[in-house]
Amino acid sequence: MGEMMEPFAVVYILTIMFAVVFACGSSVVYVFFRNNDLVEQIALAGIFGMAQIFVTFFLVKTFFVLGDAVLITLLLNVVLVSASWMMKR
Amino acid sequence: MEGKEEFKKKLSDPVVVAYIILGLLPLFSMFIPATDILFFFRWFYLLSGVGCAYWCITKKYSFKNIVPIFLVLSMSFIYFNNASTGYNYWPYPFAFALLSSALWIAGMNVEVAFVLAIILSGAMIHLVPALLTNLLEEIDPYYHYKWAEIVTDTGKMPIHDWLTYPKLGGLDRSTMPLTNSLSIAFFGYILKFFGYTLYDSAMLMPVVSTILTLLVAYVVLKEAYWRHPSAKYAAMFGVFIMMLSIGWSTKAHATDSEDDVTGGLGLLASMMFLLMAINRDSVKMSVIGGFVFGWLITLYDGQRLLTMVVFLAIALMAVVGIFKDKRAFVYLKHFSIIWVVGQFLSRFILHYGEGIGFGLYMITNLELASIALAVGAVALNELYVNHRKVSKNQLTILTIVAVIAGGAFVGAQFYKAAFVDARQSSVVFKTIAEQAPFATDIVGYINSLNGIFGVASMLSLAAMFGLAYLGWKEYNFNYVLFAVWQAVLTWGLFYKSQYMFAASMPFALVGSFFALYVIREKKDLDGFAIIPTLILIGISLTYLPMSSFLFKYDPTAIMFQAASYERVGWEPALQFFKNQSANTAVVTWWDYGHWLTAVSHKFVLIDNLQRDHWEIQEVAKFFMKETSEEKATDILRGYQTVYDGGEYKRLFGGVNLRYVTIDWTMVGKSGAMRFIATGNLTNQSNGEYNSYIQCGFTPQYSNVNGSMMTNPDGSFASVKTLVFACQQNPDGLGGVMFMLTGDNKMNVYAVDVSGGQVPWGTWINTHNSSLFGVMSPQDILGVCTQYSGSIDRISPTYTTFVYGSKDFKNLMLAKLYFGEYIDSYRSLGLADVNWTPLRYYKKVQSFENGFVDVWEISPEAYGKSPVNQNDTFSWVK
Repeated sequence: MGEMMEPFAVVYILTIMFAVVFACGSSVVYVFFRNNDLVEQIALAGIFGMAQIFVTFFLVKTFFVLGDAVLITLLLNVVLVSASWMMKR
Repeated sequence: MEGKEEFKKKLSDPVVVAYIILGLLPLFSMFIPATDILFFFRWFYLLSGVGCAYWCITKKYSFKNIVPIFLVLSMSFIYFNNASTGYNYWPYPFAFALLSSALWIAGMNVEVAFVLAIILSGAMIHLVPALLTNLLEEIDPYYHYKWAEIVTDTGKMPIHDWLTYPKLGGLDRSTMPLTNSLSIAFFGYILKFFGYTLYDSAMLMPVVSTILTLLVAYVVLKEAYWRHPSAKYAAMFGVFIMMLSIGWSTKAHATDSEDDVTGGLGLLASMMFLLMAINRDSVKMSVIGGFVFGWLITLYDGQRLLTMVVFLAIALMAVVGIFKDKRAFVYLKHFSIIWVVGQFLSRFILHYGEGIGFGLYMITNLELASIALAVGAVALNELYVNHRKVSKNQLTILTIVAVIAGGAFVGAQFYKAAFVDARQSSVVFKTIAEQAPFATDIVGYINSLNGIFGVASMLSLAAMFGLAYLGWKEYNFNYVLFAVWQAVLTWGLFYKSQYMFAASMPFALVGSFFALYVIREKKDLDGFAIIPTLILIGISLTYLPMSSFLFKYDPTAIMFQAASYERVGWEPALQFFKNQSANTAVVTWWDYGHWLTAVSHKFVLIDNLQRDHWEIQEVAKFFMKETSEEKATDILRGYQTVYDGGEYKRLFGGVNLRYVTIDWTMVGKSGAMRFIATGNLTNQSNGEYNSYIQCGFTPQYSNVNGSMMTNPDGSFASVKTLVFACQQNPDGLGGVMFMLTGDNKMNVYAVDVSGGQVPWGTWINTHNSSLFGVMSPQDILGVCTQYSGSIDRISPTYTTFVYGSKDFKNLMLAKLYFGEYIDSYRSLGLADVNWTPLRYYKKVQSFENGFVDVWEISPEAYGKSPVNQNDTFSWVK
């Protein structure tokens, strides 16, 4: 059956991927869904953590290479949260 | 604060701590050798279960403790049943239930406890395939990996696929929904900073999508049962069934990087926003849902299904609303916002070419028909319910006009979808398993549903009627939507197996409707609610590993959906091709197209997309119709001419159609290839039903140790008997029997299906047939004699003869794949063929004991001169 992936690597990679998804998706939850209950917020963070790749797709299709598009997408989350925080202040 | 204090206090309870530790323990089993686990865990869990039970009884603990104690004892039971491989992973589903109930007993909110447990356990169950092999599973995942790799390497989205279908000039990919591949590349790019690769991302991203789908499914169900007191319990039941659904998990597991699971996530997420928007009448939710729907459009074709289902449900609500004097506009309003925003945003991405643009392509007729139906029905609903100034006569006339005008178009499209497209008529698609009907009759359908979705599928079918009834009675859109979703895919799956994954979602989730009626109060015990409660408990039990012994449904199968023997057997051949020059093309059956383009980065004529049936038929003719080398090579010449000119010349300096490759499974697929090769693609009339017949060694009918028999002269001889049983075939050959005597004599008999024996020479003369093999007959007989006790572990090329009659004696597949040892077969009287050595084809490599063989095509086949003559044909590089 070929070799298997290292169990520690599997856990580590999944932890990184989930961390990226939930960290990024949390920005949308912070801005738009602050009043929803906890379980809904977790699900929404998951959705937007993945759906933000929609933005990456647009960036790669137009003017940017993959690496730049990924960084811009990640930065957009920071911008979104910062803008929301500043507007609320 | 008081609740938190109580929770902390409960967490210091030794029994609760024990439950949590016992629940988490199996999750570490991947780090411990399986044999140690087996020795240690079975007794450990048994003693722990007994210990916890003793403690709870003596200390008079809550009755709730019976659940975790039952689970701990069940886990012990599982470790005692070690018949199958991978049992160290079996208790993962129990770990989920145990963790969940431990946190609940400890005082955590039952909903949060459930979600935490499902994230942890769901991930563990669905990542197991990555612990069994480091290869992506099966075929289609490689297509998505291919694009992820190209995006990563070039930094840009692919616009055109030059690697396949040369006679079409390749395939335009600029409007392809490639978000799944981009997601793999996205995570691959991030993982690179942690020392991991794109391949790791492709292997494990499906697990991320799987877990997120379970979370979203939970919210979808809660929204569907909006404001029902048991909504969260029903949602928990549905998600539990989904987590352990074999049908859903065929795509939702590590190593399957296809777009289905992430697409399913997008579909459920869009549905979630629709329900949220309708339940709260929130335009904000609709607009945000539109963004998610746009993401879905760039991700997965399933958006068309969602469009059809939702608009159908809206149309039904509008019609029912006319009779109930209720408006349906709100449903149309919210989904229209979602749909329009999604279509608008996605077209900035899915347009022809690169850069800024907008896709002006049309939606499908079925989508148009669904929209027309919903808009027409809601318009009538508005006229009947909201605008009472219109007279009854005017309404009747309007209705008749709408039904006649719309019915012609809408009816035609739905008829085409339900009766024409669902029943596949193409010659090529008739040979493809996923295009074939899932079942041929209702009884077979129900049996098959049970096998892949479990008994919960029956619950979903029953719920479909319950939801439709309540949807009508209570005028509840959510219920009608679920009923339509279930009905459409119940219909679609019956006619086409391809819908199995799409259907797995309603088949897992819709049955949760019955969980709305579980016991909520003790007084219900005396009432009707006890019946659905018992049904739900029964169904939940069938989704635990022990159920395989009782109910023939084994959810542990989820964990073992890793790369097959076929994929593993191909790996060395794919690496061989990878090392050839970049402008090399390979002729083989379409099944291996994605592997050769994704792993080896080589050109192929056809691939798994089955996009050009004419090219597929030409390849089928090459292998399974032409008996003359010249005529077969003529087919390849046509392709080489294409490769020598046009864009292939400009972009790649020309492409060399240099290799033919055949694997063992193509013998089994020869029937499909023959059917396509002899079929008519113009009127789609069927081709010939015939194939090469495999005759495999059958130890139970053989006597490899030999027995004493009397010779005609009265002397004794030890005779070994080797029987090779044949697949069903039109010649009526049941098997081939070899009788080997100690003095190196061999008598061969054909055994017909009624048991009669005929000398092999007589049989092949009568039936104009031959016996072939990838290996020499001596090797096959020798290996079968020596390893008869462990024959399942031997490569099929060493245990199987191949039988062919009439045309099948001289097809190119036979001349190539069985050509190496044909002289041995002839000299032993097994084959009666008169092949001249092939002029243009030279065998250059054999992998995995002949499982995959490779031939190089001489440049002379295309009228080109080789540069030099070494051991290969020496193509110009």
